[in-house]
Amino acid sequence: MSTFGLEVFQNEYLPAGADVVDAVITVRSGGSGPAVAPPSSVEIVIVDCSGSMNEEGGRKIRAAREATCAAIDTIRDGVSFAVIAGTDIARMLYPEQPGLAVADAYTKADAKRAARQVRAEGGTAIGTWLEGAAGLAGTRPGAIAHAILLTDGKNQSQGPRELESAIARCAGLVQVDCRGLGVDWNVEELRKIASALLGTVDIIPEPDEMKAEFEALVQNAMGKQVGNVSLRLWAPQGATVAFVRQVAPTLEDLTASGVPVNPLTKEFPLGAWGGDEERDYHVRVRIPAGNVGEERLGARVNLVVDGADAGNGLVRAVWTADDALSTRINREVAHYTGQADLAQAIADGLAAREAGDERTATVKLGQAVKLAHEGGNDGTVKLLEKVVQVDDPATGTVRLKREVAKADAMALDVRSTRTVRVQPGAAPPSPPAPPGTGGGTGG
Amino acid sequence: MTVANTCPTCGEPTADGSRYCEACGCALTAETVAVPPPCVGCGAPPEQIGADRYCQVCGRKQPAPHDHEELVLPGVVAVTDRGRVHHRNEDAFACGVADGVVAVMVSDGVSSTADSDRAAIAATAAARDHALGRIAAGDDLVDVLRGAMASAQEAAAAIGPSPGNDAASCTAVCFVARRVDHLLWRGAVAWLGDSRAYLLRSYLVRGEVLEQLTVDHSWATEQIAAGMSPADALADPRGHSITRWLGADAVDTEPAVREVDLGVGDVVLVVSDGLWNHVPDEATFHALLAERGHGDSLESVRALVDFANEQGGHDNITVAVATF
Repeated sequence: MSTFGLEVFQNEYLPAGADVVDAVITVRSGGSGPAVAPPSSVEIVIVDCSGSMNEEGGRKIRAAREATCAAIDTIRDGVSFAVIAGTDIARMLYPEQPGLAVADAYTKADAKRAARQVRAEGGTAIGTWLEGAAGLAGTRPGAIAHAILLTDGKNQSQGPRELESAIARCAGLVQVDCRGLGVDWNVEELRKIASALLGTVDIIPEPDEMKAEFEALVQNAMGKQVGNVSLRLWAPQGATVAFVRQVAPTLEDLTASGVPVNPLTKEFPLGAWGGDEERDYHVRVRIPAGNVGEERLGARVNLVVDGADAGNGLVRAVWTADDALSTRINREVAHYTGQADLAQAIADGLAAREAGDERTATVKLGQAVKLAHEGGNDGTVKLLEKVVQVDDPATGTVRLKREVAKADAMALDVRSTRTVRVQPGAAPPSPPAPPGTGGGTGG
Repeated sequence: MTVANTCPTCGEPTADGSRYCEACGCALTAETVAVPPPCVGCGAPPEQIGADRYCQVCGRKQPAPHDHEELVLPGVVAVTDRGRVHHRNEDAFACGVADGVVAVMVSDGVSSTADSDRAAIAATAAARDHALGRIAAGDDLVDVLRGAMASAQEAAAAIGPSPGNDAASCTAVCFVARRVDHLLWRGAVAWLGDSRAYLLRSYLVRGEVLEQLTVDHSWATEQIAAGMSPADALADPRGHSITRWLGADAVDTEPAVREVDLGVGDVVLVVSDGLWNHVPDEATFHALLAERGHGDSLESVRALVDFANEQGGHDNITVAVATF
């Protein structure tokens, strides 16, 4: 059984009149308790079987068949599972009748047989695939339900609002990791799904990379030990929670997913957790400013695991006249603010590039290179180097590359929300320099 | 340790030592539990305040009981306050009056030592209890003070040291007075450290005169006595360190002592450096008393404490005043 822990990082000192308090909350699961039987789990594989999967001489659908078999093999015996073929509708691939099969040597062999025979034809209505998976998960209430969803194209057979309502209906019922094969799918569509359904999104550029990715996703899901972890946030009367964001390992804005528990408390679902995970959250609260010498709680944070309290912390605000105390920026808060700025710079830069605005794209992607370099995001620097020529990472001087493989641009887009942690021992950043007073003597 | 409680029947504040509530007249027994006050931020009822002292409605952290305490006894008013900067109040006072007897004790915990707040509280209480007992027995006042200081030292030394920390340390000023007749009292003050006692006397011809009765046991004072210029001594970073104190690692706990005669209308003020640092010489302190009052009422003593907070409240502040 995992033991969970929660820790709050902040500078609690505010100057007189300040009304915003920030904190980074680290939540850890550590598998230090006695081994317990794995929890009840549901695993669903959703494979795009639309007509476009026949392209490239059929190698996409062939790879999908192989990858689905590999995923089935990775499912642990005893787990309830199903395979859905996704087109305009969600078609049961295995079992034949809508429902879940319990994994064992026989059911897995039958499922692989069915997978190898699947044909691709039809459209793409991802919303129906999600609802199919959620419906199946609903037959095992209380289990940790996870799905992998693979698509190679855009959600052509549905409108955006249909997709959004489907996503809303599935929230809380199943966690979905989304993967886009090739370059014809829409990053925003899959990102919306992954965000709302507490999963990840990524690109699989080549069909032969699917097998390893499916295995890894199912392996990761098999490692989840607790299905129901959430963060409860109490803020005082008169306060506003400006945002609650996951900032590591990836950026996710959780603010809108808070469910009110009582007039002052909201609960933010964090999904299923494995035995050895660490995730960071950045919380910002606006509170009425106090007088120097006063202390107020900005927020009380409780970690709830399967309905029980598993740790808590306080986000405090102490008003002081001592500048040395109040101008210090907490390392973790500064770092993740920088990481969020980095993701925004990438998003803005790519959007500008798409729109043909090269000047803005160069500026924004240059900022991104600088931030990634400062924050130690080597992975992100490498992704950026596929899209821009980096002249000087320290100042963010870059030039847009003429020829950029679409897959590289999409990889940068989709992985822009991956963050790195604060480097241990790094010096805390100095407070931002005040805007230059500039202006010379003119002329 | 003296605490301003609230009456459990009507909720009005009561002075420690009172046996009856002045507002509603109900009897207050030693077993009476103090009714906790509502939230200082939003007025929410005490049930809404958690054990960690944060209000569950507005989030405001409630002051610790010792952050601000007041005491009013016949002829004695005392207030101690955390100030605006320090996390805890490490000052303390303990006072007692009986027929023809006054005892006022003030202590300032050394904040670089752990548990100095507990040392100050324990030392003042022990000194007061010893003094009240021995004055009643008729002992000579200087002997009373030496015994009181010894009791204070024993109490403070028992608090420290804790592993890895310096032993809890604090200053002490003990003032006692015994009535001689309806016009005259005999007083004496003993001290260790840099908390001070002052005497404000009215003369028919000279008018009011303020005299500092104690001499700080501080590095700067001793350097000045040895010939260093006051400017140099006070500018030195060691200037305000104390050279005598109470605590487990104190070297010499034999107090300095001074006796004084007191007439009707005289006032003795015992204060910690949280106040006198702002008015370090007799002239400026006297001007402050002229503006805020001599401390013969709770309002006046509160006003003196407010003055220190208006200057920034960088230290704990204690003002204990005996009016004769």
